[in-house]
Amino acid sequence: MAPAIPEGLTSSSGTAFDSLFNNSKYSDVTIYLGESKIPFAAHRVVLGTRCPYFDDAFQSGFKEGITNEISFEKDSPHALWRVLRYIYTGNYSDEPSETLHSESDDLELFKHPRVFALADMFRIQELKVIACKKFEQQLQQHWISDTFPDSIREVYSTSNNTDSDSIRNIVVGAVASHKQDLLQKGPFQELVREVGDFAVDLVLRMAKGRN
Amino acid sequence: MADSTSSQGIVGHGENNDFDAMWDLLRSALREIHEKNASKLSFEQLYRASYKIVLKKQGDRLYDRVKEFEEQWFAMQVMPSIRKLITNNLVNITMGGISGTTANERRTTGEDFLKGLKASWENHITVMNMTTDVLMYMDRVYCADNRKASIFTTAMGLFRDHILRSPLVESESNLITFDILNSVILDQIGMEREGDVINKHLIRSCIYMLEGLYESDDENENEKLYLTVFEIEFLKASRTFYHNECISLLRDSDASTWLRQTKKRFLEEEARCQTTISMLTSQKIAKVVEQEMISSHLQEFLAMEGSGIKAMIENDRHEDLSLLYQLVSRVDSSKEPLKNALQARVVDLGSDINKAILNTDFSNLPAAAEDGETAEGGDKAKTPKPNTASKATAAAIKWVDEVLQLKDKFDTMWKKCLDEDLILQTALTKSFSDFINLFPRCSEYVSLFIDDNLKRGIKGKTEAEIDEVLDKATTLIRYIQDKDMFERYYKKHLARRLLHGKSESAEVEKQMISRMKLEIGNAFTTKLEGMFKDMNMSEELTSGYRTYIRNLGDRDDKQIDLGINVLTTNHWPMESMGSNKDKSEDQRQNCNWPAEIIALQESFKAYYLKERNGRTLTWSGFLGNADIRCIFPRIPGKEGVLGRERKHEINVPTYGMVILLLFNDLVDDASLSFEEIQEQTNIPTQDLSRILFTLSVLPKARVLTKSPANKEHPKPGDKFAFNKAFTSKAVKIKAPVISGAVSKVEGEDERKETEDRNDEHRGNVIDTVIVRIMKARKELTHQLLFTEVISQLSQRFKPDLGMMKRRIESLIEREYLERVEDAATPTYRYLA
Repeated sequence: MAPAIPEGLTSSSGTAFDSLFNNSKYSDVTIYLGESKIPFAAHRVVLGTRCPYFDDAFQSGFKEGITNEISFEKDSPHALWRVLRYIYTGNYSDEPSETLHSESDDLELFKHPRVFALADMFRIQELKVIACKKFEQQLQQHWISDTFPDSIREVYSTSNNTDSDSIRNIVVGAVASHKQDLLQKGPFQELVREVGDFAVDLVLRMAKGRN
Repeated sequence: MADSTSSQGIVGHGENNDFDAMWDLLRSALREIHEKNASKLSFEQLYRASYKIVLKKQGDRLYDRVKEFEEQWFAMQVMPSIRKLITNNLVNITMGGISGTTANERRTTGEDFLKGLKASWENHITVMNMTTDVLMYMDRVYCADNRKASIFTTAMGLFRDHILRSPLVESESNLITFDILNSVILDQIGMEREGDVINKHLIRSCIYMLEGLYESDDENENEKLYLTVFEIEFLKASRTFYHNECISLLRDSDASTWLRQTKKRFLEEEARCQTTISMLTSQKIAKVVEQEMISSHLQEFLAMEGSGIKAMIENDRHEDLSLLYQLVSRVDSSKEPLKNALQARVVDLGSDINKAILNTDFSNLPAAAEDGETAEGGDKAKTPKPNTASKATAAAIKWVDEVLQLKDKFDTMWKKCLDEDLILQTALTKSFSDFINLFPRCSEYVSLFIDDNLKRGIKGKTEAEIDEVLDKATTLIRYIQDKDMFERYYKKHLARRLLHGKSESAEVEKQMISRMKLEIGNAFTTKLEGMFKDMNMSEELTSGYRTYIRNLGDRDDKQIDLGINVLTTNHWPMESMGSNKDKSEDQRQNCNWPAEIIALQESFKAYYLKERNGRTLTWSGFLGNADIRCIFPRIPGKEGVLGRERKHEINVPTYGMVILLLFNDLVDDASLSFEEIQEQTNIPTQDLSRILFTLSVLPKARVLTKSPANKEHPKPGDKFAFNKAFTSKAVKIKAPVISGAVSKVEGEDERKETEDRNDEHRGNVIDTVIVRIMKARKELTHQLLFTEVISQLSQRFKPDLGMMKRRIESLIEREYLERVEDAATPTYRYLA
């Protein structure tokens, strides 16, 4: 897996489509983001070649292939935007898009896990790695944030433990590094009680650390 | 937004409810997909449903439900319609029974079944492709994690188990759909083999299906159902078919038809693999055809009277032979059967040639010889002997021509039909060599053939044509085993050509020599080259001597003009150049030379030895010739020609000159008896008789008279006198030479002698080789020594075992070798 460099990352196939990003020129499909159904002008050729999910969605004879529309009502529009940004340009930004000014952006500690979850569903391996890297950097400062326990809850409900480089490792790693501070906190103890997979991962990590 | 999204992640308690709701959604979607209504469905919704199920660790349940759904679908929706297509007729045919319908009906019902099966398969593929797309997250996460086969693979397995291996309900047999499928396809292929047109495309589609299905979900490439089930049946049926076809061809047709039919079948089967079944089978079916159509009855077809290999070769049926070669090459890389048949033909045809020539040879030779003895009439006496000889030579040329024709025939065949196959070339060469060496006179005949060509044959031919002749000669030499015999004859013939100036072109002679050098080696040609060197040297000597004499100043009209050939003893076959069978060197050397000639000899010797001190010159009277100026005086009282003095220049052999000079010193009308002449000249009896025959019996140069005056060969008791009354219209006369200049076939005695000489020489060669080997090895067993000797001599001749034994005995006697006592196997030791 290519190491993901957050800034200035270029992916040969991604940058070529920079100018097409949300550009109605040549656009042949529309993606509706979130409950408010914010339209995004997209291109089959870009989506289909960069992302296996969209390839199937538009080529398999289902409704989307005929209407040329697909909507993701239950997903965060900002997370979707970041995924599309990656599909077209090879990277995405922490800053919210102006196009989505009507929608509030995800909380800081939810931005990358949600990108990760979508990347997993859409089966874009490289994006998963990029999201993990960004999340890991972010946690170096924000592990203290009160939203961390909820963030962990969401990570565990939107990922599986199939990937060895999973986002779950990032979370457990951050918690383990600061276990003295974090595990005293009530919300964390509650979290450990509630999310069994997390508890197991944490115990395994700490056992390993001691050896 | 944060609220709504975070609530999405909470793992609630209603997992079962969630699952059931999502499965309901998916199940109805699957139904719609099967019913080709997918375009109503949202991919996003279905994908997300399966994604969520898997995230919630319910992948196993989803997987099993999908499987169940497919099984039910096959049972309820697919199999019933396929069963309808399986008519009783199809079942009967599959059971090996006879169908009660026409071929056309059979084909139609078969095609209907194939079409039905093909449609259900293609539907299945389409549906499963869409299903897989929807369930891709399950495949990637659940199946990969739990090492389960992908849902697509599983669904393929379901088709195999629930459609192809589904038993026929109404039949009492154990038949399954697959049996019907195999039977129908094989039946259709059978129809095509009989010449019907079938729907290849349809069969190809069903074969694709079998190529896409495997014995197990591991999808091992060697376990495609095509290979594990269909192909086996196909090959079995094909084997039976070709087995029967070959037998009926053997019974009803000829080899030519068989060749063509077999080739056609190969092409058909290859095309069938390309268009109807699979290329995977291409080599296997070819193997079946090879075994059944070629290998199993090859010998019988080859032996067929009038169309088998004998007839093909006899009648130059090149197309048949090409086909035969192609077919045989397929089944046997050593081409053994073809090789043996070809070799047998070469030896047969070659032996025919040998036999025919030997027969003509023997029937003509004695008769012609008799002619020579009894020919009395003056003009008829124009050398009947050379006539005999030229007949025999013609036989030699005929033999060589026929051998070459045979060679040409097989060469053409080899190039045109046998793909210039090296194995066969070697085999043919060996067979040619075999029958040529079976012919006792091959060495002599081949040398005669070259002799004839170098004397006359190449006259007026272009370089390319000459090259061709030389090529042929070289080819023949290559075949000859006893190279030493050949060398002996070649030297003899070459000597005659050179000494009698019969060679047409020195250039071509040289080419021939250099070819032999390449073919047989340096050792073989050194002496031949020496002969050429002598000839060149002699020319220089002759002109050098002339200049030398001229510079002496005292020009003498009586000076004899000398043209000389100085021959190095070792290079020339002296024995075979002599004019009679006298072996004694003394007799020959001691010819008494007339005083004039002795003076000339001394003069030349002085010149020759000036720069070559220590050499010995021996004058060979039996070679060479002389121009003699004769003056026949006017005969008093005669009118016309006889009334005038006549001058003639007569060319006679050297011995002739020696004899004629005797008559210079004789008083008029005196005569000399045979004995007197012999006494004075010391010329061997036979040579003397022959030369006197020329000078006193044959009319052309009858400068002597013989008494008694008959046509018999001169013998002791006869008397000879100067023929004053000789007349001739020509001023220059060449006395007819009875033998010597013409290279002819040897008589039996001569031949025996040549062989004896050759054997003697071989004995010496064997001695040398044995001693050389033993010197190097010190001790060697009898067996190894023989092997070594034979291999060292193989270039020159094949030694006779008896002779080798005798040579060893002789070497032991002469104390070169001794037997090693108490050795387990007979062993010899070298004695230094």
